[in-house]
Amino acid sequence: MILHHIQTSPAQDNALATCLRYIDKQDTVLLSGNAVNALLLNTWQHELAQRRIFILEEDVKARGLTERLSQFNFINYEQFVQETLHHDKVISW
Amino acid sequence: MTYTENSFEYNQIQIQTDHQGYLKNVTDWNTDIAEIIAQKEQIALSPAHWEVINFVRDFYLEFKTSPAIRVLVKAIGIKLGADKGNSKYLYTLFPIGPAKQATKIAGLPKPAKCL
Amino acid sequence: MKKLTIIFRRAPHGTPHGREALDLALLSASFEQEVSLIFVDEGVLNLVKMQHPELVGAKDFIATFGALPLYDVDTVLACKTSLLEYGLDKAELTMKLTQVSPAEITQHLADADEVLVF
Repeated sequence: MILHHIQTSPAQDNALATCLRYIDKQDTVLLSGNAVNALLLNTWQHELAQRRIFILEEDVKARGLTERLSQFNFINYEQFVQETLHHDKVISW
Repeated sequence: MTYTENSFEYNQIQIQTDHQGYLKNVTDWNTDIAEIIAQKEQIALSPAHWEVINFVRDFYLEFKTSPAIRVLVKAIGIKLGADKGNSKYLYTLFPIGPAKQATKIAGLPKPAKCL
Repeated sequence: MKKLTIIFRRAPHGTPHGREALDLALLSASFEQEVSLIFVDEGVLNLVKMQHPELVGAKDFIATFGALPLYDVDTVLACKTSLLEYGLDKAELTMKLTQVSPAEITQHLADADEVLVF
């Protein structure tokens, strides 16, 4: 079980698209930084619909997107560290 | 023959080096220049030295990088026999360090990582 | 001995990532790690023959890929889908590699101890 960490917006970088091509069904996606913006778009909401995903709370708040992304799982830094320990490895795309 | 800090003269041409004596231009090199550099390193070149120097230079020209010591050891072992395929043998030829000295005498830039 | 997988996902020369990835591969292999490379997405452009990076002031690290077998890096994979997208599926490439499906890459990532993306 892998934790896939995406830090860049899909409007700027192919990291999320590439990750989703090679991800396993049981893996988790963590979005941080501008990557949280992906979830504002229908395309990426749809792409990520069947996945276990986390978004980093601080990054969402910082961007004023808390309300608009409220249906997703927020985690803080401490929980992020916990998740890295729960997974076999982390891949930073 | 006159030496300055960052160059030396060969056939009335100044050959540029860096402050450690590595040639600035790979293409300036020839076997006479190898002898001059080796002298400065206090190494008398034998056929055994040339085996290593030629391997390192050919490797660099083909792959645009100097080989790691492990690759050098393996290649020499294949070429000259398992008894010579160890870093001890290479250190007897190039006491200060095979990667540093063989590449310098072969006219190549200083290896980024001396491994 | 750790199984280290290095992913090339970016095109060469525009960013230093590819060269850094290859440096890491050679360095790790020198330390007896079990290194494998995977070329995906635009990273497959690293495999194109007859490149002349010097023309744009870049270092020719593409030539250095040829040294991989001497460092005992024998597992080199490229994503079939990506090769197809970039029209390289039937092209002659710079090195000996195995074309694999995305599903096979997923499996390879699961089997690795450490995966680094460049």
